[in-house]
Order: sequence, then C-alpha cells, then structure tokens
Amino acid sequence: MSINIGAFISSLKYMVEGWLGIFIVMGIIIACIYGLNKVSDRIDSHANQKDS
Amino acid sequence: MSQIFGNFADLTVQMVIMWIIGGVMIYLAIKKEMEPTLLLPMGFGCILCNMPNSGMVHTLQILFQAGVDNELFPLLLFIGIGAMIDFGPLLADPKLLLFGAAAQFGIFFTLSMASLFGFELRDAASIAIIGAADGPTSIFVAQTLQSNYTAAIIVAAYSYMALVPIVQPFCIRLVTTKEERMIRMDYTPGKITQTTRILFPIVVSLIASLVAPDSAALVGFLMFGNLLRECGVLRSLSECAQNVLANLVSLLLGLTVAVRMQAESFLVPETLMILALGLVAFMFDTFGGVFFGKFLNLFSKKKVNPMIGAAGISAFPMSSRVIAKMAREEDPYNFILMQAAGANVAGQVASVIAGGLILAMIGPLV
Repeated sequence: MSINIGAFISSLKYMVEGWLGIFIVMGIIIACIYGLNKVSDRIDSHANQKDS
Repeated sequence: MSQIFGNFADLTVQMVIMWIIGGVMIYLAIKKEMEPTLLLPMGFGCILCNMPNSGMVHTLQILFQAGVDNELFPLLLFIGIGAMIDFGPLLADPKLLLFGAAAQFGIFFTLSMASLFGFELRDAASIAIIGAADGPTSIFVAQTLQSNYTAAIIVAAYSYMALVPIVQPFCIRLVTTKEERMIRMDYTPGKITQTTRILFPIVVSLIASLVAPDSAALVGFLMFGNLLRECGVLRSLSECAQNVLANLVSLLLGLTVAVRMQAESFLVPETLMILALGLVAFMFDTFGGVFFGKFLNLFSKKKVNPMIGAAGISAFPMSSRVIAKMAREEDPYNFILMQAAGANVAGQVASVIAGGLILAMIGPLV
C-alpha cells in the first residue's frame, strides 16, 4: 500500500462530477415530482367529475 | 485414524482467526441484533468455508456464480426493498431529495481517498460505494467493476449499516450545536394521489435509465418493487416481495458471500484498509448531509434541522429513526421523524443513482 498523489488528483475529477451529477439527477426528479403532482391532480379531478 | 485426524494437520492459524471473525458476526447478529439476516448466515458460512479442505466452498461457489457473479441476488433483493419503501413523505416534500444527494458526498470523497492510498480505480470505486449504506448496491457495483475485494466490501457495507446508531450520532454531535439539533420543523403533508404514487416509480426508472444507463437494472428493480406496492391490485405479490423474496435472497446472499471470506484472501492488510475507508465514507456521508442542512439555513427563512441531512444516507429506516430519536433527546416535543424518513428514502434513490454514476464514470475505464 503506497501513497499515490497522482491518482488522488485525477480522482478529484470523479468526486466533483459524481457529486454534482447526483444533484442534477435529483433536480430533474424533483421537477418531475412537482409535474406529476399537478398532472395527477388533473387526472383525478377529471375522473371525479366523470363519476359525479 | 489418519483419515479421521488427517485434516487437523491442514488447520492454520489464519483459519482459526476466521472462525473467531465468524463467531463475532454471529454474536453481533444474535446478541446485539445487528443486521441479523445477513451477519448470521455470513458468520456461519465464514466458519464453514475456513475448514481445511471444506466441501462447503465448492457448494457455495456454485451459488456465488449463480447469484452474485451475475448480480442476480442484489437485484432480486431490490424488488423486495422497493416493495417495502413508502415514498409518501418524499412525494409530499420533494425538496428532501436534495438531502439524499448531499449525503452521498462520502462516496465520492472516499473514491479519492482510496485512490490516494494506492487502490486501483476499480477497487477505489467499489470501496467508495460502501458509503451508499446499501448492501445490494455495494455488491452490484463491486461485482460489475470486478473488484478484488468484494468480500471485504460487503462485510464493511453491512457492518457499518448495523453501526448506524453508533456512527451517526457521534458524527452529528461533532458538527452541530445543541441549538441546531433542537430546531423544530413543521410537517404539513401535501395530498399525494395514488396516480402520483404509481407514476413516480415509472418516471424515476425512465430518468435514471436515460441519465445513467448502468443504473437501469438497480433503479428498475427497486422501482418495480415499489410499483407492485403502490399499484393496488397486486397486494399478494407485493407482500411476497417484501417478505418471502427479500428473506429468501438475504438468506442465500449471506451464506454465498461467505465463500469470499477465506483466510488467504480475506486476512490481508487491504481488508483493514477497506474497513477504515468504509468508516470514512459513512462519516463523510453524514457530514455532507448535515452541512447541506446548515447551508440551506443560511438562505432559508424556515430553518431546517440539519440532522435530517444525515438521514440522507440510504440505511433505511434505521437512519431516520436514529435522527428522530436524537431530536427527541434534545427536546421531547421535537418530532422530525417524517422529514427524516423523507430524506432517508431520498437517500435510497440517491445511493442507487450514485452507484449508476460510478459505473458510468469508472466502468469504461476498467
């Protein structure tokens, strides 16, 4: 087991890209959930109107 | 006589050490109830696989090739986990997903630390994923990247999951003040329709598959389990996935993984290093989530209890329970369980996506 500074420095790229990447994916999912909530509200209210 | 006692000559000190390790795992599973579904079969398998000329190795090797080498067991387990998870608290407050993202910091920090200590990139990435606090994801990533240290990684992943009630409170107290831990949060659950609950697993599977195709299997199986739960017409399949399937796969997985715990490959300095780096991953996951909560408090009018950030790791539901208990210890009338549970299920989604991103970034390089 030896210290490898070069590998450490090149791995920093994955650290930044990976962590930011998760925030981006989560951001997309959050936007989709807000969209889903709106769409399903409409679908459900439409169905309720039909029922009544 | 030579047939009866011949095997004794092949017994080594390393094998006896592995028996002790197996015994400790069984003790922790039974006496301390730490992840007993996995630690008990692993401990027992560990003892049997470290007998001289053990026939158990051959049998478990067949199971390993059938279920772990091809990542089948972790994926099947994910159907059960998906069926167990209620995404309701998360759907009611989708912003909690950000805590799930923040609390994956330990994974990527550990990737760099493992590289610093000379591990190959594939091993560094596999070690880092211990921080996902998610056994099946750890197995899936380590196997896909063909890491040399799969067994140590799995042992570390499940051991630290069991140690969440010890590791997380220590880390949280280290970086928060009593006032911060006492912050109360209003919980006003929004109305979540069944249509949303049904569409959520489908949409997440689509997004994850498009953004990180390598995570499609992980996310897809997790969300398929959740769809079984939420669709409302497959109650018996959902219950089967939650109980029978999850228990059966856990049982086989624990025993099977033990085949990689043979003394000659397990008792190496790298194993200790992996255990240490796994702890680093867990600690920095917790720090990442807590500091993200503090960061939000700089801008937000409604203060966030930074402890819920720590629940953004995927150890579900243990982490959210630990956080809620800590909040009540500081202030008996502070109830943050729902927010913590939301962050916790966000962590489950985030950890799987983190696994997919690691595979997408590192996979092509190894």
